[in-house]
Amino acid sequence: MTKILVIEDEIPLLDSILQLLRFSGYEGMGAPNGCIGLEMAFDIHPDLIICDIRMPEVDGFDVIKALNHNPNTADIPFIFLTAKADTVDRELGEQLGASAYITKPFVHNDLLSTISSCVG
Amino acid sequence: MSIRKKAALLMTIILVSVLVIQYLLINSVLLATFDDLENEEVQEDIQRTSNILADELSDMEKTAKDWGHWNDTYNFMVGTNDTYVEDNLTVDTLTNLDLNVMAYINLDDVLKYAMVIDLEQGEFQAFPATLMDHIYPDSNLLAVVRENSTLTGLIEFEPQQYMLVAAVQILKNDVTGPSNGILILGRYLNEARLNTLTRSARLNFEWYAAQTMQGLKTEVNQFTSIITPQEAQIIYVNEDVNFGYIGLTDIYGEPAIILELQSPRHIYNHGRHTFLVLSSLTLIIGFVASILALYMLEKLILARLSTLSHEVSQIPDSSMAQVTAQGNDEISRLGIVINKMLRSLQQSKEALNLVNHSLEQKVVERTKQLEESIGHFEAILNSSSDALITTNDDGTITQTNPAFIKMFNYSIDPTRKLEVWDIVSPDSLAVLQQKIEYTVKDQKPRRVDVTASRQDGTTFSAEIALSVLVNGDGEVSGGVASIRDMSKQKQIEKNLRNALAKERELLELKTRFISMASHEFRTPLAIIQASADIVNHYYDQLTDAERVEHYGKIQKQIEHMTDLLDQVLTMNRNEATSIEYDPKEVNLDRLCHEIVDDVKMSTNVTHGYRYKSHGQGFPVSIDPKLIKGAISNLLSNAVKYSPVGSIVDVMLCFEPHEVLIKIADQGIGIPVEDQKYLFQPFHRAHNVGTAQGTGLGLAITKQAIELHGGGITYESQENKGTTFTITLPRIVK
Repeated sequence: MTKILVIEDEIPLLDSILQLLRFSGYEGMGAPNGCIGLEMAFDIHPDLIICDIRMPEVDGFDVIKALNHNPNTADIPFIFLTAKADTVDRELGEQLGASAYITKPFVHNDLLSTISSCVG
Repeated sequence: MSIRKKAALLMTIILVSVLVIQYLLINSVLLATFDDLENEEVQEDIQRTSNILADELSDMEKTAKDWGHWNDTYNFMVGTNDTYVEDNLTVDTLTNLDLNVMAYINLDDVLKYAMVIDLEQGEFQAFPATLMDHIYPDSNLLAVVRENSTLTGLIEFEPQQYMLVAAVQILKNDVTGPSNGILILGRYLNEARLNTLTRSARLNFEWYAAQTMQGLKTEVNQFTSIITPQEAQIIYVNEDVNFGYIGLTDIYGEPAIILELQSPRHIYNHGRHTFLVLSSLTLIIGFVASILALYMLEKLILARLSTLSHEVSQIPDSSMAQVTAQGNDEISRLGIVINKMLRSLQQSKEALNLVNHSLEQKVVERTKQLEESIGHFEAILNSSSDALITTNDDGTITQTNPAFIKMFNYSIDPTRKLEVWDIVSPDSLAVLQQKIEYTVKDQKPRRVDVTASRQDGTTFSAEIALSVLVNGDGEVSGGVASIRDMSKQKQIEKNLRNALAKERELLELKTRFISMASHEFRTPLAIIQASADIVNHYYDQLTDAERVEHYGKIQKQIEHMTDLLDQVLTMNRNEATSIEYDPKEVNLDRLCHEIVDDVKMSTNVTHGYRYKSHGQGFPVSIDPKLIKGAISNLLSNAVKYSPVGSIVDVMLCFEPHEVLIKIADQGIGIPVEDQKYLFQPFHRAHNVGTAQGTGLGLAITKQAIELHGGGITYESQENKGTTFTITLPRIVK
């Protein structure tokens, strides 16, 4: 089963996303902030990571930079799921190697089609 | 000096020079030659005189030989010819032979016969006794004759009376011997004889006895100096006569007589005469030639030159402007050339007059234009609102306009009393000096902003436009400065800058607000969307509890969004100053108690609360709704961002003029980097974690406090705690 790590500090939203993944046949794992998310990424080596940007202490950009620096995690497909709708943030995310950039609020079909295109 | 005088002077100098040269030449060459000639002539005359005497002696020697080498005489001496005396020795014989003495000396040196006559008287005379001093046995005279067979010479026969003698040995006709004696012939050398000789030789000489050497016309020092004809002494007495002297010795070599030859200086005088004639002739000819040359010079050159000079000198005063140019010589050609030049000059003058006339017209036009320009310039100068000054090259102000006097508060025109440095404040001197140096260096106008200084010492912002004044040689002779009072512009500029900054700040704030608002709305919307999608698509797979949870989430997020919207609207109202501000006297102590109780209840008493009131309480005029919202917000933040169980302090301090409300917690504190944006809408410190919040509370609180004329401050240290202090002024009604 495809393992998907979701890093999101808004717990109600994190719960909903994990439930959605479960209904869609994925194995979803949640992390409530960037630090925990990175630890989990290095430990379980997921097939895909969905990450918020605006989080306390370690934000989404810090997470993808750290993943890129580690050869074991650098190749993991990475999707930003964020409320930051500014073009500059989107461009920065793409420059850092994100496979997709989804802005909140999102329709669950869009999220699922993006996930399937990233994990095959 | 005129050319005529110069020419005359030159002629005179030439003439005098010729005369001097001629004199020197004639004197040194001709007269010296004449002297030599005269000398030679005197020598020749002396030689002739000597020759005359020698001839006399030779003649007597010949006569002596005729008579001595004759058989009759030979026989007479031996006594075999008795008629010899009668036949031969007569007065006539001696007269014809021109002899005064004939003496026959026999072999015994004794006078055998002698005959003496006075030729002038024709009478016999006695044999001179002194003559016998020479005739005696073995006398010198006789010895010499015997030895040499002949003897001629002078002997003294009377004191200072001399006689020419010739003596021979008496031999046979064929001049064979043996000798029978000696024949002596004598001829007196007296005055008459000398006169005869002088006449015959055509010479004028006199004789003197050598022994006394008296009666000489000139002084002869020694006889020996004149003893030979070759050494005859010539003495120049005067310019008319030369005297020549020669000494004669007797047969014994003793001084006998001195012959004095007087030689007139014909040659010298002739030479002198010739010199005088020549000099006179030269003088006359030279004078005449000079006069003639001067005349010709005057006629051919000087007069024409004078005329030419006069005509040339008249040219400036005459309109003729032509000189005489006749003939075909240099002066004529000079005249022609001058005439050509004059014609050219006349043409040039006419052209110059035309140009001059044109130039004068232009000068008049330009003067008029210049006056108009000056008028315009002065009009510009006087009407300009900018202060204008001109300076000389050392910075002294040479001209000002009314605007300058007004701008710098001068009561009178400060021209020549001020320098450009005096119109700026000391702090602007350096920049002004630098700009002036650059402007003088490259002669390009510059602008400089300075603080200008008025006469009374007050200052104002000014812009000075600098440019240089350049003279005809391209050198900087001074400068022009236009001074504009920029104080109003500076104020406008400052206001504009402030407005711009505020606008930018507002824009930035707005952008940030929109961005934050967008973010803050998107997150609850995302939760709602996610829950809605799940319920919608997976309704059957959800349990009832899960459905209720999702509806609850939706409900909560809608409430959150509504709350958010309310706060945004509140903020918007506050900013638009349309907020409801309804102040009334409130017991603040009581109000604070109520707030603490409300918060305590709403948060389920997770923290400890300490409330204290200091000072003499007094009623405060506030809007209770706004102040309650503000204090509630601060208190709920203190609870939200501090650990469960920690203490929250609320202190109310009544000061004489104000009221302080302090809310202190022991929470996470505000990071230093977030403190700058603390009161900005939607800003939340990065250490808030998962604590719920919109980021609008502090912004609204600040607005509410400021609406009361109060203020809000804070002290915070990360992980130690934060203390907010609200200050409200005491308003006395």
